[in-house]
Amino acid sequence: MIPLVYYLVLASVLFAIGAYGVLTKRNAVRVLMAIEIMMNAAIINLVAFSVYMPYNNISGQVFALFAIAISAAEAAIGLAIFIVIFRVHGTIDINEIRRLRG
Amino acid sequence: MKEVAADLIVFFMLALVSIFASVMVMEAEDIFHAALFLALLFAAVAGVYVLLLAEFIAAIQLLIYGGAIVVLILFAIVLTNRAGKVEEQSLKNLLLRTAAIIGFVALLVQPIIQTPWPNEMIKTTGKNTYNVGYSLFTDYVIPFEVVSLALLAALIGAIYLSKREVAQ
Repeated sequence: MIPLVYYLVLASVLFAIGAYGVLTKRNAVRVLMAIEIMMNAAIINLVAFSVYMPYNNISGQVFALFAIAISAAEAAIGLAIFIVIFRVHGTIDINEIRRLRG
Repeated sequence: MKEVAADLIVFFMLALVSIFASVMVMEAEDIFHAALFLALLFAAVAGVYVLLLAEFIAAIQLLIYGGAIVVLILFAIVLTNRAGKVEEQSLKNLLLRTAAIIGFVALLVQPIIQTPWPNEMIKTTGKNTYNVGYSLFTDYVIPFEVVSLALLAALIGAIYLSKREVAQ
């Protein structure tokens, strides 16, 4: 039997790597990939808690489904925005896109 | 006793693969390779869901993440990659970055370890998909409809954004 802590630690490691990517990467698509990694870490937590909590609670898995759907919507919107930004600016390097900066 | 060990071995293999893949998503020089490592990560996480006996979530993970989102990201890379421009990956301060990640993990893990969690997996009835579907269409039917509306709105918005040039 695998202790619940192992799943939580795995999710923490994935979340930390995703947060590192969001903070340091310059290519916007790679930042989106990092966000997807963080989403996956959160969903691992949801499913693990739904299976290990002392009463049979399927809600965690239902909310994992909702999280997957929201994450798919977010990826579609984000990538469409990147394509528009690429058309306007010719780059998706987030250090070079300065229009919203004061 | 032997089954317990097999469980743990499979878990550690999946964990190693997923951590390696997520590091490679961040550090692969070619962003195309990064997207393929992302697919590997999603497959490994689907394996973790199978270990958790959540087979429906595992299937959805493979279909939505491993299929749809990876293909979307690959298309976005193809459409936004400037030919000949190699993304510069500075490997300066690699030690410092690794230390920062490990410190953040330690910060997250410390309260996790200190909390007493229930360590027994629930005896499943082998009706995971049935249970998820039943709960989804009884207790959570309104959130389900809201999510479907949100997804529809997001996809219409994505189509509108990427077609705008044609309309002008």
